[in-house]
Amino acid sequence: MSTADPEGSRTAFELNAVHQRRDQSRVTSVGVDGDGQRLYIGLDAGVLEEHRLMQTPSGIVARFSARRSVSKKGVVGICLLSAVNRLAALTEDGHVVLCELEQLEPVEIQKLKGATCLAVEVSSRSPSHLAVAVRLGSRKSRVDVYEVFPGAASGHTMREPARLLVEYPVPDEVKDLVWVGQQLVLCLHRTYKVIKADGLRDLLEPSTTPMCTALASANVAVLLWEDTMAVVADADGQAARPPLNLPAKPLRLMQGGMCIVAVCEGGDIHIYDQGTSRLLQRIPFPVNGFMNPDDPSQPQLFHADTPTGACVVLASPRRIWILRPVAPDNQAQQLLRGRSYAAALELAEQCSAKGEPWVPIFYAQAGLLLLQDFRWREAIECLEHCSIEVFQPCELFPLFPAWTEKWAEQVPLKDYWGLHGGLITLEKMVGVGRRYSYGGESPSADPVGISSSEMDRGPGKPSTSARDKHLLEAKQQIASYLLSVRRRAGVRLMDGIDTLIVHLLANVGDAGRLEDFLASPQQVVLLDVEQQLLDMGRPHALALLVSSHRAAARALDLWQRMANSQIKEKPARLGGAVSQAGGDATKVAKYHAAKLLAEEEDVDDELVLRHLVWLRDLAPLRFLQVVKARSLVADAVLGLLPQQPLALRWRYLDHLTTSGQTLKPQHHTELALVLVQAILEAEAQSTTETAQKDSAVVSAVLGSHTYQSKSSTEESSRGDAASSKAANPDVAAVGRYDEPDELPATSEAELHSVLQSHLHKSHLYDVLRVLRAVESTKLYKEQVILYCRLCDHPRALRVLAVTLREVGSAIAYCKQHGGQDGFLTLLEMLLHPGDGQQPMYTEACMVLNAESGNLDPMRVLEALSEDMPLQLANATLARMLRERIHRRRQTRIVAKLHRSRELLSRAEKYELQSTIKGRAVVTDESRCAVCFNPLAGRIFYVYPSSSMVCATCQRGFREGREQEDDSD
Amino acid sequence: MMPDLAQQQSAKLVLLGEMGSGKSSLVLRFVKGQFFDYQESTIGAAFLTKPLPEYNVKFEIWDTAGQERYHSLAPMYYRGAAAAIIVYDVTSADSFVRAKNWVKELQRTGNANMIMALAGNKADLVKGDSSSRQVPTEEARAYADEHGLYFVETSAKEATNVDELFEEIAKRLPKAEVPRQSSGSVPLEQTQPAQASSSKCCS
Repeated sequence: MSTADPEGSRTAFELNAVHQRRDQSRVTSVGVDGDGQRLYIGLDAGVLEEHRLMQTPSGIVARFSARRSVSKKGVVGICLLSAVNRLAALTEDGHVVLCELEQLEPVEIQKLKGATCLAVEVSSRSPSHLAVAVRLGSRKSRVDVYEVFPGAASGHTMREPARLLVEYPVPDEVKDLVWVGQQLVLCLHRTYKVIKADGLRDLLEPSTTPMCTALASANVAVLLWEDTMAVVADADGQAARPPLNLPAKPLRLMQGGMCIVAVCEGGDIHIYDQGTSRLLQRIPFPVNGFMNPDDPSQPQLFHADTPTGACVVLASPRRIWILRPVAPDNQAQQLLRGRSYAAALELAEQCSAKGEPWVPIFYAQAGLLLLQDFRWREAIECLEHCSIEVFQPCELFPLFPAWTEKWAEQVPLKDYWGLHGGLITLEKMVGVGRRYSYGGESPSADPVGISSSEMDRGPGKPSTSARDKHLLEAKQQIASYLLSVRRRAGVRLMDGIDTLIVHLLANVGDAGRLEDFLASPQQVVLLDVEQQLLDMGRPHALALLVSSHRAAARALDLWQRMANSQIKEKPARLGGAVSQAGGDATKVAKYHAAKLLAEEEDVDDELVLRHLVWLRDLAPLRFLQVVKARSLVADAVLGLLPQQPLALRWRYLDHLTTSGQTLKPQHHTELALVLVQAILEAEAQSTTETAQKDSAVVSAVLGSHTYQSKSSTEESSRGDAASSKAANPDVAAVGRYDEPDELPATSEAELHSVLQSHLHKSHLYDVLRVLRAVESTKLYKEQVILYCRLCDHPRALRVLAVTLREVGSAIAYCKQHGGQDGFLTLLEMLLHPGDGQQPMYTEACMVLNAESGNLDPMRVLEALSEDMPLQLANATLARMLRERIHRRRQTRIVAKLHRSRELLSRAEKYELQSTIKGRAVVTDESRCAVCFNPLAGRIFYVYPSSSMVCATCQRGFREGREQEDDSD
Repeated sequence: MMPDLAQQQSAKLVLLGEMGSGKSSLVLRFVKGQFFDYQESTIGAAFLTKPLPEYNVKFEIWDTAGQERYHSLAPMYYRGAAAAIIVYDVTSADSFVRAKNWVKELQRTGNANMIMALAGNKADLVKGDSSSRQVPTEEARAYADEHGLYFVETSAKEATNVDELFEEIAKRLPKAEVPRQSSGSVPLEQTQPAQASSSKCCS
């Protein structure tokens, strides 16, 4: 292989001369079976020879096996039909002879004359399809497709070995034909055509004499388009691969291995990759030595290939050569030796799809070599391709002996293809420089920005900066690899891998990934990394680690020390919690300590209480979150809460009472008292602030310049802070650490609301004690609730109506608690407020309006004082009067209506009586309407309907009615 | 989450246009992020692939040779293509005329559902100095609108609108491509003359 060969070139094929004719006969055709084990030679004397191809230490040799005369004319074409165990031989006189492979007994296809070329469909089915081009005239041909059956040796009983299936007329001379899948592509005089259901269809018009071969594995054909270019297309005429750029006009095109083989004018064999059409190899081949004496421009060159690509056969009239593909793993090794990584990876990818067993080993070997060439990212990509069975992540431990010493003896030692020579320490590797000054491809774009001049110092030592960059990049990539593969099943020495990850991430300053890793389940050996983490200024990572080892006390101690700035977190190169928190380690410590205290169930209460002390001082809100999340002894927590400031205490008590965690009256009472105190303090503070504002206004009037100047400074500093936050995305995106630690300010109104809610809802506090606390204050509404709770409604109403002057609330109160007496009390209170206050007539009228319908007018009138201005009460009183009059009139109407109904009843009664007296006539035939007994001589009764009933029946009726009445 | 590569839809994309219009540079910029001032002429065609996981598409890109002698090969590359980018050079009116011819040819013989884009390349050459521009943007846009093409001016050199061009095509691709019909096989059910002649003899 020439050094000037293109990138990725390699020995893909080996050429062996396997046969030399020593008799007078000349080779006129060759064929080879699918496995490349048997070679068939067609000779000019119409003889067919079979040779066995044997692999010997000196190469492949052809051993004669059988010989049979099949025709009187030379055999110019041989096709193997492996599926039916036959061979088709084309003779010089245009006949086709079928032979069974074992006996080579020839049987001619009947009625077939003028055959010019053959093609066998690549299929394992039986019978096989054989296409034969038949010349009919100077520019007329026909293509026949035969079914070829197995021979008698296979138990086949067909009389004929082949049966014609179909024939297609072709209006041109067929130079060659190939099966592309199940379709036939024809090489005509100046064009390629394909046989379709609707006839011949144009495929391509080349600018040279057509020549083609099929790539059976891909169902595509290689079609020569111009002298130095061939296209690869399917039978629909769609390009399937990039075109082949040939150095000269090809004499033959064939398929072999995973390649396309072209023998070109000038004498070389050119091997092209089937997938990429890239030239892989050039093999010198002296075609000029066997030129055709009849046509000096054409050499006498015969060829055969197999659909499996097992080998390619080339033959001159006197000699035969075999081109055998080199095993792909050997090619891959060769490429790796030459550091042609891209080509090697391409080859491995193609073979991986076929499930070649060496591919995982290749990736391991390539990864290790790429590591030695400082191509870290590519190396890691290769190693990630390997299964754990082939490459264990711990095999990288020798790169870092200081951190992996204790596992050194357990690391499996594998040399794979023996190309990398074992790993030395990373420091030494980088310090020495790249292992090879290779002539292969140059490294790809370097992600760490190492200049090519630095990279290409060759085997010499890299500069210090390049060395440091290499170390950094290597550690980052290896850490990424270990992080990605450690979850795979079957990984050995997990503790060593996890420990190494911590060392690597800490070493490269990747605090973000380090902390994420340590916060997840892992098997890091704490003792091995503890000191390093502290030395490298990663106390937070260490705290996460010890916390994951269930050493909560230690983790909390670390966070406490971080929060108190006793230990410092150094700025990280990449990410990290402290960086996210804008560099404030205290925030991080507080957040994580609180999280652990709140969520970790294994932490005992004593430890929680101990750490709540510093959390209370530094992050009251987080303190509250913790105590709310855990069920701690309330008195123990309250013991941590001082009387001042009150906010934390009342919030905790509020949580206790509202969540139902305490039923102790003292806690309920204390909550009320603490809230009262908090409100009073807030009031006092608000008063002070108001005074200060007033004073500031005065100052502003007196010296406005000073005030404005200060204000603008404040504005400016606020603006600066905002712009700095916007400019720094880390600060802007502090996320979880941005949550406030301090308790939010509570307004006076909110405090009132909480207290009032508590006083309403709780029944456990000491009302009198709380009342004593609020009585002399301005907490009037709270007083109302408390008076109400004591059923001292007049005092509650007095506070509402007289002190607060909230008559509406007082009325509502009366409706809920007071009744008529309450209203009258309220009315009295409004008319005679006492303490020298003026009567509140308007409010009194509101009371009357609200409830006038239900109040006794007399008592109202009695309640109204003589001093009350009549115009104020006029409307109300008038309405009350109207209503009373209306009620009286309504009563009288009802009485009259009753009277009228009574009179009507009486009238009806009298009328009935008069009717009965005038009409009763009894004869002998008169009978009782009920029992039908004669009435004569008996007492009877007459109904208004003139029905007459005997006394017996009437009595029965009456008794029955009386019983009904009784039951009603 | 990124979709499985195996589930990615493959889409055949072909670049057509005058020689030197920058087809290979556009593809190289898109696929490898590279640009060479002196890009060798493409011989025949070049083939590259580029997955766009965010669109669940893997482009199989055929970068055709612009030389006239390769014109007859073009149908092999645009046949069955889901999309075509017709490239012209904004500083060459001839290349625009050639691009129009490609559009006509595709409309006449190509896939009716093919997504076509018209890319005016080398926009960097007219950025500061419009005197070298020979194809006004408005004219190209009007042509593209008239023929239903997506139009954009690009610069492979400065990576202007290159990714956008391919991404726009990816967006316009139908969600699930209709699977290609099987190539079929040689019809073997024709009347069999051999049998016919034998029956003739027996009759």
